[in-house]
Amino acid sequence: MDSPVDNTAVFRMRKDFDAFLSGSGTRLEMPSFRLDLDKKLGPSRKKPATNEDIRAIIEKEKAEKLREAELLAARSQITRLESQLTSTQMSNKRARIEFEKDLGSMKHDRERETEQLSDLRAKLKQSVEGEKLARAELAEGQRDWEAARAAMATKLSKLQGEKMQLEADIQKVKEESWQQMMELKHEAGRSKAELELKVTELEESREQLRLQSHHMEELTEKLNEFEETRNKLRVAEGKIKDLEEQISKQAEDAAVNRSLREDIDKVPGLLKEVNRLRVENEYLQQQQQNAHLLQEQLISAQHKLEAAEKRGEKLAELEVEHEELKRRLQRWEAEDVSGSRRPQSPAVLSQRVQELQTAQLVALEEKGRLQSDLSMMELKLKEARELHQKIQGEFSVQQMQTQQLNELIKRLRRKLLLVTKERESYKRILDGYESEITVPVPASSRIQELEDVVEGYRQQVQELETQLQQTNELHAQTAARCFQLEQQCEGENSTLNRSLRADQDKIHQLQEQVVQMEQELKKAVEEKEILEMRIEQRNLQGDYDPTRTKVLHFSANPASLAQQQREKEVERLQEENARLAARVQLLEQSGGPVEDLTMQVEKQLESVPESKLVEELKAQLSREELRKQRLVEAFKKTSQEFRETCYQLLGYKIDLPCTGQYRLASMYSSSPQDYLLFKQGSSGEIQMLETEFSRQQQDKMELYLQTRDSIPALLSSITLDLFNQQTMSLD
Amino acid sequence: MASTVKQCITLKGSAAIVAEFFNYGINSILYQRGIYPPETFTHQQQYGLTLLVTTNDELLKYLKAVIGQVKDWLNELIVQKLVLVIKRVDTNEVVERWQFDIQCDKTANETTKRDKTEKEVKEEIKSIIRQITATVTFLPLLEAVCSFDILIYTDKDAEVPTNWGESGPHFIANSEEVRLRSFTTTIHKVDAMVAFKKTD
Repeated sequence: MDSPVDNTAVFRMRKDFDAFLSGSGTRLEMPSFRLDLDKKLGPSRKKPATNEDIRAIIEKEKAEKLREAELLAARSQITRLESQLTSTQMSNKRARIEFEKDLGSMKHDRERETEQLSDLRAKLKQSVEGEKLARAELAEGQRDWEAARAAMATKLSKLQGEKMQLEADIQKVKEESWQQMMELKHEAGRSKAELELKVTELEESREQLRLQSHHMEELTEKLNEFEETRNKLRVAEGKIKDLEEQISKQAEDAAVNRSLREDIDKVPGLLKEVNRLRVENEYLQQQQQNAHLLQEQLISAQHKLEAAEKRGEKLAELEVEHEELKRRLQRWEAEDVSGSRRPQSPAVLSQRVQELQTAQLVALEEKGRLQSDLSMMELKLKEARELHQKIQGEFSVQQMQTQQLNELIKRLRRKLLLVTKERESYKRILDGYESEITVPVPASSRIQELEDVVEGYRQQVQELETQLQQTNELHAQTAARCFQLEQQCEGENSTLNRSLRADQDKIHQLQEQVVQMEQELKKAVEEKEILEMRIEQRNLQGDYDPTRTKVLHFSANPASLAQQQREKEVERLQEENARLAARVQLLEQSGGPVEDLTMQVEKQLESVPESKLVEELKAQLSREELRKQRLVEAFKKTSQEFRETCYQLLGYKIDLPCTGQYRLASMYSSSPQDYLLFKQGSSGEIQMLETEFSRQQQDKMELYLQTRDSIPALLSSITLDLFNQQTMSLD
Repeated sequence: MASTVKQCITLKGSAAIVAEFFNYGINSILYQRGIYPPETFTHQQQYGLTLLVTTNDELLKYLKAVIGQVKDWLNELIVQKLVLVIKRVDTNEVVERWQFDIQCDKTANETTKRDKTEKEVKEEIKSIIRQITATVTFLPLLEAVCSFDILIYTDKDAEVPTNWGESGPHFIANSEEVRLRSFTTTIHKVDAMVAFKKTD
């Protein structure tokens, strides 16, 4: 709460207070004021705000001042009494006592007053503080208000500034617009003036136009006249030309006539000559015919001659041939004479030939047999060769075996030799031993031992031999195996070669195929590219697949709108054209200006659309007829369906032989003559008419119609009856 | 560019980009080919280019309807082509065909996000629009009064909204085709091309 505004408030308050005090102080002395203040100010603790209060206070103050004056008088009395005391002790003492008594009471009063004063002061202070607080609040409020006011003021000023600016702008704009308006008005005035000018000009030009048209009409009339005269002139000229031509023609004719007359004069002589010539001509023609005949005869004779000559030549040839043949025959016969084995006649010869043929046949047969034999033999030979090869293989195996065996034998012999030598050496040693025997027993024992050793050796040798044999056998076997394997290998090689060749062939084929396929692929790729290009082209042209795509457009698109507009335009133009044509026609008919031209045109136009109307009506009529036809068709179809269903459901075929009559024929009736007739009366009731069939159903009619009056029941019963009959007959 | 996130492209964003491209592309073609008078177009900055956009109210309405629908279909991934057909008003003969093939990535869905920035896509679009502007140099002059129509090739199962109808493909008899650039958002790929009637 301590702010500068607050302090100023405090100052102001204090100043006010001081002013108040000094205001009161000018007239009154402090103590008396103080004395009376507590009484007067007590009830009204708040600050003296109004003048009335102040006045009351002043009055009270006056009373107080009176009292104070009394007090002052009492004091002066005291001082006088004190001076009297100094002069007179007794009186002084008495006076003093009185005085002291008075003083005490006075003091007491004073104390009380001071107390009241202090109390009042405290209260004053409190009130002052309250006031100060209120002032502070006020000041704060004022300050806030000031601030707000300041802010508002700035805002206001700003807004005013803006407003000013805007006003200025508006002013400017107004001015501009005014200027523009003025300009426009100016322009408008100008244009109006121009317009007026134009209008006047237009009127003038119209006048001129009218004048011109008048002139024009006159001129056209004149022109027409001129044309007519020109036409007449042309016609006349044409006539003149014709006449001239006729004249020249006549002159020519006269010349021709003259020449012809001359010719005619010559005619009788010529006729005579002609007759003569005719006779001559006939004669000559006859002569000519004769000549033709002779010529033909000559030609035929020549042909005959040629044929005869040819025949002669042929004859000569034939004679030569005959001679030759004769000669040959003679030779034949001559040879026959020389060699008796030769056939003497063609018959024999043919027999011989036959024989020879049979012999050849036999020989052929033989040859075939021999060939088959040969092939068989070849086969056999092949087999034999194979066998031979096999045998050779076996033979070589055997050879090898024998070789092995020979080697074995050799080795064995060598060994045997070795062994015999050893034995001999042993025997020699033994002999040596025997000869040198000194101690026979040990020697025999030793011999025994040695023999045992020898035996051991032998055994060992034998074992070795058997082992050797085994190994040899093994060797032979392996060799044979080897040979076999070689052979096999060879065979395999050959088969392998064959298969290799086959494989190569196959590879070759496959390569060819691959090449072919590649070519095809290339072709296919090219085709594919072409097709893709085509598809692309089609796509570019906007083609689409109607099974997957549809094309939509906004119905009210600009193109269709333009189209419609154009149609309207065309219609309008046609109408205008018709009108203008009518106008032209009218003008042409009248051959000059026409009064009420427009009116007449309108009249004519009104009459013209009649044909149009007729056409429209015709079109409508045809449309309606088509519709009617369709309706009739549809109706027929439905009625047919309806009847068919009725027949299926109810078992009766309903026909209308004539209006109002219904003929019902049952589905199960045996003859087409079995039918019932019903008639619809004017009021809608149904009556039954008599027929052949109904006469047969008298009992039912009685039962259902006369007693119960129900046609459906009758019909149903008849149906049932007929059905039963039918099924029975079927059974 | 409604909902494209800075670093990736969603299905919705892709559809929006493509639809926006169509809007500017069609406007450019209509201006370049003179289907509507040049004074009915206004300048607009887009893709770093100054493009011309129509101010014709009816045309604006039409384009808004068509492109809005195309956007929906792009979201459903069922558009195959968008074709701008220019035909003569008097004979109804098709003279030019601006075809935009759209390849939709059918695997995309609402949650798909692709790593391609919008900036890259817009760069690609920019080059296409430049090409469209450049095609005027070789396309034959349209002498007769022409109008245009927009065809949308959709999948067979697409629902046909009201005001829409099925149409023919509007082929050009004896045409020449030129392929233009393409762009892709990785969800939609757009190939542009133009076919025009051969001049003898």
